[in-house]
Formats: sequence, structure tokens, C-alpha cells
Amino acid sequence: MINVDADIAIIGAGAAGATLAATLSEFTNKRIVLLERGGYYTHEFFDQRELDMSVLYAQRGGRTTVDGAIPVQSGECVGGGTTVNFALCFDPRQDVWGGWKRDMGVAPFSFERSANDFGVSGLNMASALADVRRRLNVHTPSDDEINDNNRNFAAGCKALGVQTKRFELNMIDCIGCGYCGQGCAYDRKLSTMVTYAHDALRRNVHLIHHCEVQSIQFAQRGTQRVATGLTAIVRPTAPGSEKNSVEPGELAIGAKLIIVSAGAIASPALLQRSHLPDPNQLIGRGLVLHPSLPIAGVFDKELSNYRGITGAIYSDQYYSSHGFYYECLFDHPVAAACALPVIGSEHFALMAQYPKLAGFGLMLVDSVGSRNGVLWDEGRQTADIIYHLSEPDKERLRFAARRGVEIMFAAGAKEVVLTSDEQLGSLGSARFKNRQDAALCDRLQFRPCETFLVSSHAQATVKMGEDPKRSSVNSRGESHACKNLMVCDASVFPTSCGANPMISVMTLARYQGKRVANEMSRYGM
Amino acid sequence: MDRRAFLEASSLAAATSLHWLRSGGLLGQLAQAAPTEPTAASNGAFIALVKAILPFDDPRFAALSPAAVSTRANALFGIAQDAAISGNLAVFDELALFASPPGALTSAELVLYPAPTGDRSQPATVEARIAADAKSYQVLSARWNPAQPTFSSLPLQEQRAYVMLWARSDLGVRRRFYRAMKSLIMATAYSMDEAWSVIGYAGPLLHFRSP
Repeated sequence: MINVDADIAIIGAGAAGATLAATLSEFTNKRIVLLERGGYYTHEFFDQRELDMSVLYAQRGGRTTVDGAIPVQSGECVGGGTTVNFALCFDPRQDVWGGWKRDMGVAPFSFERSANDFGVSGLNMASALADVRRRLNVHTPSDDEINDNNRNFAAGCKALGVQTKRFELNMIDCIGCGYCGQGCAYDRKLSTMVTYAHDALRRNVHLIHHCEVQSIQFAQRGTQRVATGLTAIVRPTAPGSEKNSVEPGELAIGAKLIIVSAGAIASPALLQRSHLPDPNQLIGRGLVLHPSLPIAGVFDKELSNYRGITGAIYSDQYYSSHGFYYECLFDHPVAAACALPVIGSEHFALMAQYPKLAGFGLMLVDSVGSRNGVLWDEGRQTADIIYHLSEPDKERLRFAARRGVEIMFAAGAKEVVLTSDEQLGSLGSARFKNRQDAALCDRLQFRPCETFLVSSHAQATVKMGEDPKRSSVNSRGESHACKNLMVCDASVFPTSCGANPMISVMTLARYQGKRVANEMSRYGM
Repeated sequence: MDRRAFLEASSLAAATSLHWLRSGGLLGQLAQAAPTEPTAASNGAFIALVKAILPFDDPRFAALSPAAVSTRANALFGIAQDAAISGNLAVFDELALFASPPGALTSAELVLYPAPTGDRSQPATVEARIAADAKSYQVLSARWNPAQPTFSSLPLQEQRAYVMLWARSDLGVRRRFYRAMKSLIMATAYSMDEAWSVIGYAGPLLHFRSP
């Protein structure tokens, strides 16, 4: 058993954990340990092959909802999701944060630069966001960086009067290899692995990777419950990972403050198996996934699709009215082959035209359903992800699919394909030969495993709010049941944050990190 | 154990097998198993499934062979060593079980795919789902030779039609089996360099393999 004594233990080295570690080591001289379940893989390891790089994902990319219907992707490595995402940046949506203030009493999270939240000089969301944007070089790509796939999408939208916007990206001098999802082999994507985790390590934060936290321990001090530490197993270092700082085996860490930043699946699972008191059984419940449906088009001539910046253009035209986005993306062959409809020669008819394919996805901002959630199964030692699409959400997906098919035709596709094995009315499969048939999207049933949906944005499983009957942590991210246990990641969002969550998560982590650094006495430091 | 009892037990293993039906962790087993000779029991069905799912009947796909794909699938996913997958393949191969599935399969359906209130996309009861499946099966199998009672022995086009019966089954466990096997076989084939030239994909810019 290895014992480590620390002031602050952070669980998870992704968007939130790495940002917290860097921020806390910047503003304090406390002893910080940063624990990561996955490995520490750097640019030298990234070989641009889909199956090899599945080690960067939770359960090697094989994690799904319990019914097998929706792959729930998240990064599991130093950098977390930021190591494998497409660098798509959205500033925190003030309308959504305003709603959380109104509905959940979340406060203060000021977006004014003059605000001093929690009485901390200069603490506000605007300055936290500005820090994150600067560190990650969040910027808009130039015209000559836009590939054909993105241009076609923009043209299709324009033809139908659908507004498009250019993504902001956290990159610097992108070479356009197209392998964001397999880890950037050139360190041009400014993931937290090469930014905040790097900063934290430079300031002597103690990183332990291949580290599976078993449970958090508590003690009773008077009327207060306090978190005292955690136990973990350090696995042998996998091939290709950087060396670890401790030997494999059991690990016990004592800390004055524990921050859980393991993502919206692993964070609630850890709290559940640690038996954190949860009288209203809220932890894990109310999961949102941003279920996404890919839409493919077959064009007459070859286009740049898998090379270049994968996602450069999106549309939020339907965000206010229907709650979804179109985002331009494209898959490499393994992911494409798994998603495209049917089998045999009919499936190959599409694969054989791979260089002529275009793609974008529709991403639903799904509603919170109390039946949806994460449940730690003690017997099987796995986190079950239970998720059913609500009928109103299915209706919005049908509308978005129909409009998406029309956009792809308007872009010039001679055929449009949904990643579905359903038979839609007169269509033998989800391959549309003309724009009029787009109306057949109304027949989509979304039965589990029949239509391929995918999720990369699990959120809202350890909700933040001031009422313990409706939330699990307060606005500081502290558990209602235990003040020196914080949760800081996409779990604490009461609902979907309304966009791709990376920058919202990092802004929150920067904000909470600055707050903690100025409120050390709250945690006995 | 007689044949029926074996199939019953197999689908029970399948239904309750946690790493298969419940974890969904197909890619999770990646690289954990060394290449071995597949067992005879499910090997025939698996090779037949590989041929049904991939377009070996298209001359452009000649760079790959069913044997190479199934060997690689075993190396990547350890199919041969996985009793649950073998059991599922045996159930899949036995055509008569489509209209009258083993009891274990229906119990798994009840647990994994309860019809949520307000969901009109599928029959609420498992019995009704089985009846609907039996009806589609009857239409399709009318043209089959009853002397050939397995999926492996059907002609290619009929095999593909049978696979799509699973894809569009009213039973969630069947759709899941389809989705899982399709993903496994597609991932195996389209991660092979040989497949890339077939589809016009240039592949990585870096020309090395990770350790």
C-alpha cells in the first residue's frame, strides 16, 4: 500500500481536472495530486489509426447505454475528452446559466468583468472564460482552412435560408490531418493535455495515471461529515503511455479537499459507490447525452472530407425553436462503416464511394428525464447508463433529420443517407434518392439499436443548486452532505449547458479553482 | 445435454452474460485475447455472418478474404474464447428459433427492453413482439429449403435477408445482436490497410504503428 498525503486531491485529469490542477497550483502552494484513470499518452503515441487509438476512450470506445443503443463516448486519458474531441468551442451560454440561476438558485456566476463573486476580488465567469480562451488560443479558422465537406454544408444551408456560423477552435497552426478524434500527433490542438495539465506538472502537481479510484472515505467530526481521503488501485502502465510516478498496486491518499472531476458518468458512479449520503436519490439522475444523428450525402465528384479541419461550420438556426444544432463532422472508415445502414453489397455501395461522401450531424439538446441516469452496480462493478429518449425529443429528432436531409440535397448530394436500419415507408432503407422523400423522416421510430445515435456530451448527473431536495452540490460545487468534497465537471450542470460543453466545463473549473484558492480556510487550509 | 437444452443454456448465458449483453463493451475486449483457432461450434456461423455482412461477392473487395477477417476479429475481440458470443451465434444460426425463441431470450428482452410508457414504436408485450417476428419470418422463409435449417446453409442473398430480420426485429435483444456483430465485423474489416485502397481512403499521414 502506497500512502500519499496531500492538501488537495483531484480525481480526473480532463477538461475540468487539469484546469483545476493548473489553477490551484498557480495561485496556491498546496500539495496537489491529480489522479487519472486512463494513461498519459503524448503526441508520439498517436498513430492516427482508429482502433489503436480507442485506448484513449472510456471502455475503449465500447461504452454504451445499457440497452446497447447509444455509444457514450468520453476521453479516458490525461486531457480526457479534450485529447480526442474536435476542438469545437462554444462560450458558456449566458441564457442557460441565467436559467440555472432562476430555476435552481445557482449563484453568482456573474458574466460581468467587474464582479467579485463570493467576495473574491476579480472572480467572475467573464474573466475565467477570458483566461481559458487565451490559454487555448480559441479562434476562428480562416477561409483557406475550410474543406469541401464544410463548404458543401454551408452552401446547402444557405440555399435553404438556414444561417450558419464558423466554429471557434482551440488549435494553433493546424496542419489539417483530420485525426482530432485519435489525438493530435502534432500538438496543434490545444487540449488540456498540452496546456493546463502541462502547466500543472511544471508546477509540481503530482500526477498519477492508470489510477482507478475505488472510493472516498468519510469521517464524522461533531455534526459535520468530512471527506478524509480515498483509496485507489494503480494499474500497470500500458504500452505507449508515459511512465507513472508510483508503482502499480494499492494507493491511499489523505487530503483536506477532494474534487471529483471524472465526468458525468464516472463522477456519480464514484459518489454512489462511496456511499455519500443521498437522501433524495438524486446522484446520477437526470442525465442528458446530446444524442446525435449523422447525416451523409453522396456527391458526384470527390471532395476533401476526412482531411482538413473536420468541424469548421455549424448552424444554431434551430436552437431556440427546436433545441438542436447541425455541426459539420466526418468519420474515418471504421466509424463510417459501423454507422452506415444495412450490410453486404448495399452497404458497400456507399463505402465504395467514400471519397465522394459528405457528412454532418444533428446534435439534440435533450431534455432532462428523471428516468435517465447513471447507476453504479456493486455486484458487476460497472456504471449502468440508463437512457430512454422522450417522445417530445424523438419528435424534435424527426424534424431535425428531415430538415438535415433537405440541407444535404440542397448542398448538391445526389443521394442522402441516415445512419439507420429502419425502413421508412416506401424506402427499403434510410437512403433518400430525392428531396421530396425527406418527409419520410417523420416515420423514424428510434427503437434501440435500429437507428444509430451517438453521444459525446454526457452531463447533468450531480446537479448544482441551492436546494438539497433538488440538487446534490451547492454553487461552490460542494456536496450538500460533505463540505470538503467538491464536484467540478459537466456533472454539475443542472441541464444540458446548451452547446458542446468543453469551454463551459473549463470555464467552470477555472472559476472554481480561483475561488478555492481564495477560500482555503473553508477547507481547513 | 441435448441440442435444445444447449441452445437454451447458451441463450441464457447470452442473456445474463454481463460482458456481452449488458456492458455493450465490444471494443472493450480489444487486444485482450491472443489469436487462437476458433471453436467449431460457432465458427461456421461466424464465417457465414462475415460473408453476409461484408461484400466478398463484389470483385472490388478481393483484397480481403473471409478467413483473414475472421482471424483478425478473433485476435482483436477474442470471439472464439467468448462463450456468450459463441452461444449467441449458435442461436442465431438455428433458423427455427427465430419464430420460437428460447425462454431465456424472452426473459432477457423483458429486463433489457421494457416498453416505456407512451412508447408506440414497438409492441408492449414480449409475446406480441415474438408474434410479429414470427410473421416476418414466415413470409421470408416460405422460399427456403426446409432441409437446410441453418443460417450458414442458406444462399447468400437469403442470409442477408435473415440478418436484416434481426436488424429490424421487434425484439431489442435481436437488434442488439445485429448491431454488435455488424460493428465488430465492420470495425475489423475497415481497420485493415487492405480495405483502405478499396474505398479510396489514403490512411494515416504517419507511417508507423504504435507499440
